[in-house]
Amino acid sequence: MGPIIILQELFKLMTPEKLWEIFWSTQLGIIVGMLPGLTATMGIALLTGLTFQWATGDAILILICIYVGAIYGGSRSAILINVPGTPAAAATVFDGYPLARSGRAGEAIGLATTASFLGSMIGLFFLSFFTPWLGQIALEFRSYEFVWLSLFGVIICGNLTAPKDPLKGWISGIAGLFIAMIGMDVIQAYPRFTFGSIELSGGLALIPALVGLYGVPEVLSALSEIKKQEKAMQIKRVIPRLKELWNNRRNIVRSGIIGVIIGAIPGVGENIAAYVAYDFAHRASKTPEKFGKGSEEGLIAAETANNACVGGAIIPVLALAVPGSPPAAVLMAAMWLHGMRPGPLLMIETPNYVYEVSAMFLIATFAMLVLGLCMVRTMVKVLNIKTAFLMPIVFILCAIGSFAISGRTFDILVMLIFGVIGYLMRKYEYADAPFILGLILGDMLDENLRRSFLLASGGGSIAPLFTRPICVVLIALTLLTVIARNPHFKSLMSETRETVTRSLGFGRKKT
Amino acid sequence: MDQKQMAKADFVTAILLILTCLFIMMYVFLAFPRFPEWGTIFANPGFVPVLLAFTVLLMSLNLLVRSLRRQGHQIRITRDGLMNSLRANKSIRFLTCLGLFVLYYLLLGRIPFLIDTTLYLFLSFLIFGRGKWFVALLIAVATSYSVDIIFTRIFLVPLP
Repeated sequence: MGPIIILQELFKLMTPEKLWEIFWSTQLGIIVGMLPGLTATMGIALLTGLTFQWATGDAILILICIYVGAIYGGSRSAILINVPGTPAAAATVFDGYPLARSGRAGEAIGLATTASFLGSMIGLFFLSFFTPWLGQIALEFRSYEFVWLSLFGVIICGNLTAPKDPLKGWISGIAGLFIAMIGMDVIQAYPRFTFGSIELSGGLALIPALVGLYGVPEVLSALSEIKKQEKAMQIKRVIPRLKELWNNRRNIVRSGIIGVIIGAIPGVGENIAAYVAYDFAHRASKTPEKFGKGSEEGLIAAETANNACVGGAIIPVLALAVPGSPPAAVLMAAMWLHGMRPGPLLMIETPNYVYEVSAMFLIATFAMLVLGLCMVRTMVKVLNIKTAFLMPIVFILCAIGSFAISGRTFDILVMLIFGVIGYLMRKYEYADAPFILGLILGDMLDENLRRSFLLASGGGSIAPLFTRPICVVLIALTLLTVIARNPHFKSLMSETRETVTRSLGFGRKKT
Repeated sequence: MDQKQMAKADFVTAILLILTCLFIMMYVFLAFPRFPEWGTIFANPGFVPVLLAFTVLLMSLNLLVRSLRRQGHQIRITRDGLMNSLRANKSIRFLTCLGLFVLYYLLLGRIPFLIDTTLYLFLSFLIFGRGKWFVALLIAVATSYSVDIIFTRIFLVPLP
């Protein structure tokens, strides 16, 4: 049934107006991704404000196109100027740039484009067929499960996005949860931490906060740090050879699945997916010595995973209302703004919406492939724009995007404050992804935790919060996430592993 | 930032976070209503914020202890050091950039959007682009008008 609905939805998108929207927004996404300093999250956040007056379907279609385009677009600058256009393309630099330096820039772009396309298709497959299944499970979720889901999301996101110092990741996530408490609470309608401000009583608007966190620090960093701008390299052949792709079929499938799984983990994002897939490809490769020196395998793994992650990140958005990555968080906020209610009830209220989103995703992926292989030489000229001229314009767009949703100048102030917070967070190595996830999940935690206690006070018990099967699994995962980073636990685990290996007699013999 | 500097930054951040968390907890205890008619104190609007503030407090204490172990408390603030860091090129550019943001925000609504945007862009291009002033002005005017036309006519977005 699913594929038929996707086809039906796809036909609905085949009008000249929609196709025009798809192509310009995907191209815009590619440009946003290409330009160092402009990220997918920022692009989606900006366009959310700017397309606020548009019909819901059109606005979400544009945002999905921007998302897909921007994650792919980051590879262009990674390959041509050795600077990842988006964090998602950070692993692409390792082999993309050496390939370009060896005179194979066009070939690298072609491989990155097709790998991104195939990664997106793998993501699409899981998005279309896994979301309804997860949605069925999500229907079992009650307040108790949502409490642990929001906590687990923030903790695992803090763990994975701040691998050097998870404590800072967790502080960042809990601080995000706290900031979400500002404004009127949902149960007793009491204005919390508003200090008499009318503007704050409705809570902090998400989009200005997200635009601030992602846009303003980029402008501040780009304008305050003088960096030499690299010139983009010359490009020859872009169309990739099929043989190369066929030889990498296992790598593509493996990286795609890694991308989807990491995408589905709350808040983790495309950059982690690309790194993990790159590492797996390195371990599995017959020529690991080529990695970092212009390996096609490395480039394909990173690009497949980051685009597969997009589909994976949308799965929990639709099924659980928990974003899988920062750009997906903004996409979810945009869905809320347009009156959609992603989450468990989506499968009951609008069961076809998953397939509608899948169709949008599919057409955006094809647009990315076409645009990625055409007009490459013209488009890379964008990379030569001076940062000093581009970034002030980006700031103006951020201000307009923040203002557009509610028409309040106060939201521009919110954007500025969050911009400074975001800049300081980056400087002192506090990951921003858990903070954003906390901002999104704060209401979920607050409402459901208090509701659980209210249910208990009305003659029930608080025990289900700790005993329901899904709660037990989520509690165990949360605790394991925290404990696993403890150095004592790590040494205990390695000792146990050594003892077990030695006692079973299959440990490596030292030579 | 090297490990020594990071330890110092962590020390300051941990203290700021601890103070903020203590303030939040005190504020909730003193200023938030209790709502006894709801039957449980755990349903109060201040319950989750206190829980979160307490969690951050514990984490900040951990951060503080860690920074102390790494000698993060050995911070010497001298007038010369402060002036030198303020005079650094990066700091000047950062503060200028931030100042221009604030100026742009403060002028919004007081002068027309087009003039405010043109002024901000002109100053930014001139300061950070280091080009000729008339080129900066020309690009600033052209960009402001383009932004105005694109957003009001195509995106139908209200401008400040």
